Amino acid sequence: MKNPSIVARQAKEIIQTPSVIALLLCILILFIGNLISPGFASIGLIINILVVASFVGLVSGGQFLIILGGGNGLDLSVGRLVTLGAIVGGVVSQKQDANLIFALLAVIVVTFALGLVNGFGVTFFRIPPLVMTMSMSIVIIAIIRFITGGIGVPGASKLLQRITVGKLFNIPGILYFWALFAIFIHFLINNTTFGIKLLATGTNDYTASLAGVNVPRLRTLLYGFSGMIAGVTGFLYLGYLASVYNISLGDKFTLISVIAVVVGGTSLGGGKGSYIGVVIGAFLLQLMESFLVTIRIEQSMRQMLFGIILLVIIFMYGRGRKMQN
Amino acid sequence: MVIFKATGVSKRYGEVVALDDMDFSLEESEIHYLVGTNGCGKSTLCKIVAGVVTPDAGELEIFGEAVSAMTPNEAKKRGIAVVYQELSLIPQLSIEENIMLGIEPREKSLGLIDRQTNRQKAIAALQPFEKVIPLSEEYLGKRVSDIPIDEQQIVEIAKALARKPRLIIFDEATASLHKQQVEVFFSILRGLKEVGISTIVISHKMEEITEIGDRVTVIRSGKLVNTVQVKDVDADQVIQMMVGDKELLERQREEPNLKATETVLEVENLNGEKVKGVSFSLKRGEILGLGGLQGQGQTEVLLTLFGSKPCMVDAFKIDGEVVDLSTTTKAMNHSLAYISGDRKKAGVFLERPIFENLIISYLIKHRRKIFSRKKMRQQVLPLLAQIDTVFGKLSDTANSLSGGNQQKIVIGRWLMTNPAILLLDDSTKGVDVGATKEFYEILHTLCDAGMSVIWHSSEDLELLNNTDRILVFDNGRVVDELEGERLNETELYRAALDTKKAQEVAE
Amino acid sequence: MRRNSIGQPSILKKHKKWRSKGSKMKINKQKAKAWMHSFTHKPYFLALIILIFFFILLGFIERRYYSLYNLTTKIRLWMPLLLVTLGQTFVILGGGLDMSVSTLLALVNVIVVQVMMSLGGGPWHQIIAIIAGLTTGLFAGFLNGLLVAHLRLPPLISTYGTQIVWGGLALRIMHQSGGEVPFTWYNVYSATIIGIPFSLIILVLLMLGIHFLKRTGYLVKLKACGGNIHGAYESVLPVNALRVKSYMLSGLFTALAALCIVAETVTGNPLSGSGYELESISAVALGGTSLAGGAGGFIGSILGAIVLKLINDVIFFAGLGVNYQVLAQGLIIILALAVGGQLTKQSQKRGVTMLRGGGEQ
Repeated sequence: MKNPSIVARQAKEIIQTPSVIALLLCILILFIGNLISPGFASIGLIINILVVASFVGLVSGGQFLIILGGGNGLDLSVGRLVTLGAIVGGVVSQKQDANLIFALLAVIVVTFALGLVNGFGVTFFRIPPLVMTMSMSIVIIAIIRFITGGIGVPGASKLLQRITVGKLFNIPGILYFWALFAIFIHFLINNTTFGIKLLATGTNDYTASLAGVNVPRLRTLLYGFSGMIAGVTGFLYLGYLASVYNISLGDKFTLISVIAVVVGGTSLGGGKGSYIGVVIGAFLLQLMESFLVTIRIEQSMRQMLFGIILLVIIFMYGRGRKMQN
Repeated sequence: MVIFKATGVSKRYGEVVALDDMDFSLEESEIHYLVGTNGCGKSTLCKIVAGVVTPDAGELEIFGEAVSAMTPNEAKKRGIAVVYQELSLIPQLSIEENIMLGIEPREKSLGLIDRQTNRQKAIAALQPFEKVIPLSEEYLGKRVSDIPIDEQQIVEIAKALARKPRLIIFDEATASLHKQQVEVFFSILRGLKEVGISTIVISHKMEEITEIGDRVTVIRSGKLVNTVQVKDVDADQVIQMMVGDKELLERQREEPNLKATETVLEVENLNGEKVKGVSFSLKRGEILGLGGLQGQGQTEVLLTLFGSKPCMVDAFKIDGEVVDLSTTTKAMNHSLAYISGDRKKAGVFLERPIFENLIISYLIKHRRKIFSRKKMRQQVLPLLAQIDTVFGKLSDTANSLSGGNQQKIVIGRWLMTNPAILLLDDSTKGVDVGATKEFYEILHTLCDAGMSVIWHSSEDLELLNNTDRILVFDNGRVVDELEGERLNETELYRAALDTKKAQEVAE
Repeated sequence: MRRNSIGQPSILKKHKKWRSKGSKMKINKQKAKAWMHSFTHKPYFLALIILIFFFILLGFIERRYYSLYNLTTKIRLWMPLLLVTLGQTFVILGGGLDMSVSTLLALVNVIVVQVMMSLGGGPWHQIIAIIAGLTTGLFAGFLNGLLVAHLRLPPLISTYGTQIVWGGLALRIMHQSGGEVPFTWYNVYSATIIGIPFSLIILVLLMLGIHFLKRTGYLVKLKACGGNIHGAYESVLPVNALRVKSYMLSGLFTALAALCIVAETVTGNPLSGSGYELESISAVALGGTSLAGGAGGFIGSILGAIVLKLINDVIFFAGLGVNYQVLAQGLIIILALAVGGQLTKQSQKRGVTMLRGGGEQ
């Protein structure tokens, strides 16, 4: 029989973990929301929130890997890569189901390549990730403007829409993608050499290189992957939106992907974190937004409250970490 | 006169007892050495003196005044200064700025910094070191990140001196200094003693204690073993007190392996930032030492071999074939392994589980993409038993281990890769005597089985006791090669300090 | 007649003149060489080269660019970014980041206009409005500083958080662009005194202020916090206070920038300042200041900000569209930092350091 005080201490430790705090917050918000507006915590609504959150969650997955890899890794170009993914997808597929495979390939190639450019700038030219990816996002929006300036962007083909929004057992397709992605990320981190190399690099990149890890190559690849994930998410997002309404449709993903990763408990210095946390983080952020809309607060107040709640959450994480130490 | 006194001091960290009923006293004008194996509590005791840590029990008396709780700032105000091994310097700032940081003299009128006086005081603080560093305006304006680590250590010491302390604690401050600088350091200690400043010195180097210490306190497992006058004991007795009943260090390597005739590694004309025209060969089963004063290029040779530092070389040959060792991955694939003494930076991933720390290089070398945790666990456990590592669970993070055990993890990691050539870079630095001895045993067993070692150590005795051959370095060149009968201290220092010979070799 | 140190005529030196002339020339040559070496290795050197290059290029593309009218107008227009960049420099030197400058600018903007209008619009009311704006900047900076230094929240995320809050607050105070600002603001702001623009005078005064700060030793201590925070604590520096001060300075400079925008546009705009946070950080990086903290300077930041603005003008006058402006801006930042990084790699000696710390994220 375990000593009750040890159990209590362990329970306290678990509660202080960021992802658990985030999860508890989710439950709290659902509860309060349901009191204020009955039906808030219904399965239907939750699924809707999950759908919107899934795109954020996917993009945050790429951001998660980059931040995990350490070296102040950050990808501020993901938002516009999402837009680019949607646009390239639309242009190549031309609303034809048959072209979807080519469209997907085109998206993957283009966004992966752009991500690699980020990677080169960061690793070989030692440009700080913040500035490099931010500058690339400027370059990308120019590219986007060039593309959309000349050609009109067709909407999503029927199949693409069906894959993302269509339901299987009452659950939209995109959620299946997200679940598969989560399983893949989990496997990647825990059971592959790549995962161990990634976490080692995030913990201490010099030590990692002395342990045999090719750090520059690893980090460059990470940016390629992040770009690709953002691009493919954009491709799927096109299916959800049905058409590209605005070239700034992806911009919101950038900031929120970083926030979701942090809210999920990953340390910005690298080496620590779990994707489950990111999933919960993405869900929590969407939930907060929905909640603020439901309680009928006007937009400017919503924005203020969102920022304040965010700060409170991060503050609680800080305290939680200190207690663990 | 006793200027510091600790009576019955105890300190715990959770389950771990750092200090247990410790008594310690420091006299005026004394050079007091503090020794003990890793984790014995000497660091904790110094932290208590410096006000960084508050004891759970016991009394403290500073300059005759009883003190209950002290903060680091208060300690500094009372004139207690600490020089750590991990420097408190700001790399981006200049030497002058670092030394005077926070104590810059001000002009009376507007409170602005008095630049003239500032410079003078910085120079005054560095004055004791004028034999080993240039005391010029240009030097003072240099960024700390642009000077080598031994000079940084000197700046750190000058920084402490500038604050006119009454008591200085040196925590492994000579670890990075080479012999000439250590001599200067000694003269500073003596100088401090003359003006009434006492020093507490933590060091592993026995030669230092006998040369300059007044008293030495030995701590083992948090308890005081004894405080004795240095003149009353010799190094062996001190070591005995430190380790208890373990055997003393002695000549490990009885005779070179006469069967080792195959050349396993050849280095032809290696050139790097600090290395000039180094060539040598290594036989199978041989232990080759890289000796000479500190910082003469030995570490760089190891790092360039391991692909961690760029270099220009005519050829690296392994088993007769030219190889490319430009990245650590490539070096590893050629069965090289590198173990550094700087665990924190270059060895252990402190926040990762022991498990991952062990298997990472193995997985990379064997190009495994996916692995089964269960199978790897089965491989790892017997290895840990073999090298006698003390740990809780494989999933515990590496920072739960003591320093010596962390080093064993690094060794274990590389043993898993079955290296043909092991590169040791001062890997027993900061490791206690018992663990070190075990390390030597493992090494010798492996060498008998055919592994070769290139060994750089800051402790000459370690090299002399364990190697078959020593290459003596001076200013990036190999100036001498010692073997057989010439493998003794006299020859070693003679070769290391012989500048005429160094010039001959250069020509 | 040569005189010695206490004013007495020194005849001896006259005789020695011939002999020592050669060695004196040598010393002068050495000094000149040393100065050249340190100048070319200054962190902002690359930014200066790029600036001169673009400036000359502009001359070729559009002769009239060099006109006094144009240059004075440009300085006026560039001033807000310059000011925000200077403020950002303080924060970055201390090892932090301030992502909230964009919406803070908008916030001060609307507060100044709102206060002025609700009080009545008279001259005293305008002064009160200015004070209110500056106070807002200081207070916002103080809050940021609290979060980062005292509560130890990561700067990137916490200033993103405050960015969101200030943005919402600005929208609350003013739902859309509007408001009335007396035209005198514009007149004063765009005035020139003996040919020198008003805004430039403000800049020079601020630079003098920064120099004064340097003489008090604040900058060195701030750089210590950014360079090796553990070392800073060890040296008994009031790290928290130093960093909070840096954020307050950023807030103050941002507020000044907001005042410039109010003067320039004579309106209140809750969405002004958009993009300033990333632009100011890019400018700081372009100017040679390390984003990790501890090294760099204000001259570089000014040069970096000007370079960013020049890029836009080069593209514009070359007749290429807005797209190209945007593309060029991104590419040039990348190229400049890449080249800059390579240059520092070459000139840096490999000093091995065992130091902990470094900038936080």
